Amino acid sequence: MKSVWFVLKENLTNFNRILSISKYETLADYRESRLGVLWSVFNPLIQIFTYWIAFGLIMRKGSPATSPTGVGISYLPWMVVGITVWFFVSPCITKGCNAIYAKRNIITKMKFPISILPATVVFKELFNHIVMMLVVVALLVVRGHMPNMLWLQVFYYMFCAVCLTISLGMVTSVLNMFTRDVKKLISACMRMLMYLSPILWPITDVLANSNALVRSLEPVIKLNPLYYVIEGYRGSIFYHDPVTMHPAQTLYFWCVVIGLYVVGSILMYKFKHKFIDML
Amino acid sequence: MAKEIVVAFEHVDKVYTLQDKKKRWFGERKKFYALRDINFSITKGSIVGILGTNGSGKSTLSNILAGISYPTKGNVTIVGEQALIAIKAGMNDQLTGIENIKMKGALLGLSKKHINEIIEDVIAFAELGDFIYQPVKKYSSGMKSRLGFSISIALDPEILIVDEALSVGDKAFAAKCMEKMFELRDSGKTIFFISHSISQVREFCEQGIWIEGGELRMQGTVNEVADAYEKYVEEYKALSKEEQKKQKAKIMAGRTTK
Repeated sequence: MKSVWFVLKENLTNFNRILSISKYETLADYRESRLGVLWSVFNPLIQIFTYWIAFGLIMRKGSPATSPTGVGISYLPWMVVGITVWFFVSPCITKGCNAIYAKRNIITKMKFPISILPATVVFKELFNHIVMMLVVVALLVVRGHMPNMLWLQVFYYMFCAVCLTISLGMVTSVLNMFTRDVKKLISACMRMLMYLSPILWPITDVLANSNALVRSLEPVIKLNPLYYVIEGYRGSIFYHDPVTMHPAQTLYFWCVVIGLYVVGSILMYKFKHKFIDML
Repeated sequence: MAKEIVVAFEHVDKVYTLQDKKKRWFGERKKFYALRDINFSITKGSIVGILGTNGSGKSTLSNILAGISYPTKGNVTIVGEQALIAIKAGMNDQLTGIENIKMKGALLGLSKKHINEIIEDVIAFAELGDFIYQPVKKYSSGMKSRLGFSISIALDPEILIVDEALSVGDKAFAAKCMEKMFELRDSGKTIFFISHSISQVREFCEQGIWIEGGELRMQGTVNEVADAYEKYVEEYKALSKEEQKKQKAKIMAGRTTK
């Protein structure tokens, strides 16, 4: 319990430090190329275009996606919202596990609160995500999806994604200090995670057209905490689902987050004096 | 009245495990004492020179002093904020000089207000002219060191650890750094000064600590310690190559255990 409070306190008292570090790192990234910030929009757009051709036009022949409640949504905007979440969560997970190791030249040279490092990675990605979400919202409005109050729930799900990835980063970044194989393992699993999450294919449609064996996997797919976040974004924007509609999933999601956070804090606290000697 | 003790080491050990020639997964690994049973205490406002040959444990000691590394055994008490003057840490090549000042300030946990207060001083001290608005990748190595030193020195911690930091830049800048160090010394800071230049240590420090083979050889006034250290180095130099090797091996054997 002491470790949880210690890590929580270290993160809260250093909140400004977390934001400034992510700000200057983002700035440094943009400086590396001539077009800078534009790449954080271009790059996803090119990928979206590719997936739209492959999945929307070729595999699904332009048929709309169906929500779990039976609402039909045109595939492209449906997929864009899901994949925008993925473009946020995915780098948080892969870079989060390297959060401590990547800063080895800082933690060996100055006294530094190491437990804030996973959060700095996530907040850095959050800047990009917010820019990306603004573009997405603009595109949705152009296509005739009128904003309403339920869209504000996106901020709640954004908060969920932030908590989830920080907690996960706490665990993986410490484990990655023992052996860099953790990072390799995680990058290898990311593609799998992408296809197991409802990003490119609507779970309702796929399950409706599959045999009993695949259908029996439905609860397993819903165990993925990303399911809650991604469907949450879509629920708010397309299906008009209020947050209160899924109490069991909400409870499950927060249990996972808190569980990861507790494990991460214990690891952080236990090894905080040992990281330097592991390098 | 006795002065307040700000740094105290009690029976401090720092042990690293060594990898054997053959990788072993089970059983005891060899241990290496980077520091063994170090005891000393330093009062507020002391200027302490730390001497020792290469690999004697000076850097391990300075890392523990700076709160970066922690002892394996024993107690370290430090009263007040301490900072290691780390010139190259936390610099980003893509960012400009000004942005680097702000970024390093943020890394060190300074508030925006505090950073804005010191930024003018840092710019003035670094003497980089218009280069302060250029990305650091365009700097010469001397300019980088100057910027790094200027940021570190502006932080104003109560306990300063200077590890070979003054060998930066040209003579004029080194002199300016030294002048700044004297200024800090006179303002009552506690300073640990780690350098191979015995003359610099003699000039700057009042007390001396000599570490050899991970153990505390001597603590006393700077001239006492520096004399003894100099004598030791002279004696070592006078030995034949084989005898030097033997002595090194002996020290090494004393520091490793099964």
